[in-house]
Amino acid sequence: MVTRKIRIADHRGRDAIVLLVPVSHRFEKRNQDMESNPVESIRRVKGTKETHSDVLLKRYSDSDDLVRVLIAEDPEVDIELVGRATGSCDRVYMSGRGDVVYTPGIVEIRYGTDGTEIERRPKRIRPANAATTNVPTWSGTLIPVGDAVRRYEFVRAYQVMHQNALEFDFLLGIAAYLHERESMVLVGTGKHGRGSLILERNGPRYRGFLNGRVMGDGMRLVLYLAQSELRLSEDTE
Amino acid sequence: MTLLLETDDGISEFALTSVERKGKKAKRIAVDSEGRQCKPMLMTHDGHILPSGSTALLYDDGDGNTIDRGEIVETDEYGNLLRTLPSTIGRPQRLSETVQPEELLEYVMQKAYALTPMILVSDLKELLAEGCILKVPFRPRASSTDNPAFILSNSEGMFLLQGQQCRMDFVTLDQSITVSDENEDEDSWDEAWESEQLGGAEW
Repeated sequence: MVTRKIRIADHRGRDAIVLLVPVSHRFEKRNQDMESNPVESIRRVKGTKETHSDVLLKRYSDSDDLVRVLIAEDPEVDIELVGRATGSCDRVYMSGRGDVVYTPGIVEIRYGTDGTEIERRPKRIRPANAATTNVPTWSGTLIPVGDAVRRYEFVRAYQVMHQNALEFDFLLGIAAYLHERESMVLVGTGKHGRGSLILERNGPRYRGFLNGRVMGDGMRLVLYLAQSELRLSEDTE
Repeated sequence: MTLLLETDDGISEFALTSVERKGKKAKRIAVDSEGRQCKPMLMTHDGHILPSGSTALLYDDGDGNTIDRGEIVETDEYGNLLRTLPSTIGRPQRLSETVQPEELLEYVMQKAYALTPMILVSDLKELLAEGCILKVPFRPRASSTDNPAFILSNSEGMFLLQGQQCRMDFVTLDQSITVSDENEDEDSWDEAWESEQLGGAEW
């Protein structure tokens, strides 16, 4: 589980760096066999770069030679590896010559709404901005819950959590404020606290909203992220 | 896709159109020093290179025995067998309950559709005009997962939001958590390899 951090301000002008814990799905499916034994999925090796058909076709340009070798020597099967669980793997990049490229350049290809390529350009690094050294601002933009759920599609949610008593008091204050007003508050970056949030480097931009509830000694403060408003596309119109 | 909703006044029929998420589509590719596209591959911890298509996902019983997919059943977390439910597309679904807006905050939305009414009966039209949010079973294909969908309207039109219910609990002072900094500023490059939504403009 990747726990992120966010620096947020409250309605009293205080700010703190707190934790964002991804919410888990309430309904979890499991697999079992007919005898009720648990079953898990495992990724296993079928072949390697050396046994790949492209490599064999390059090595044996004559198809008759290739057929003879396939029958006699089984070069398409690595007896030591086939069937083995892959375990955790790293992603690597291979050049057209078949060499590992250790520091590939990253090019971004952008497409228009009709799917045609618009431009290619070197990828710019877009840093995360949720927990920077910049002092955050309380946006003060409150939206009733009913309006927010009709206007935005919330595609991600994180429970905002504390690491100590001071942070708990800070978050409890925000949760109580929002609970009392039955509203969500816009959480963002920039001078007015309304800019988009980027939670991970090169990640997508989101518009963030906090919803808070208080019950007894407990509180629930959740950051909801929306990528878009609910609007009809031109096609639908 | 066609959505059929049944209310007291009859059956309403809607065409479903996926709502595209914001931003222009973009794809990132890795290139070598000469600008030629590189192929992404996997490397095992002992250095074997695995090209695309050279692995297989199999089911294993824990003793190393592979289980055929047809011999696997799905259960919930308590071990109760889950049966496959039919698709709801093209089958009238009875609308029986309206929900409070707060209920939508128990879900993370997976998909949004714009609804174009072909037949809209009067009682459903009134409910949506009053701002009611309706909950309905929604399975685009047969599935053992019964995630509901919410039907609502705003000034733009009518929409269906398919959600997945999430676990969000009240926490108290003694439920603090501690984390290390190792995951800070993790790059989303890998997970966004194929394509990503790029928000072009600031909100």
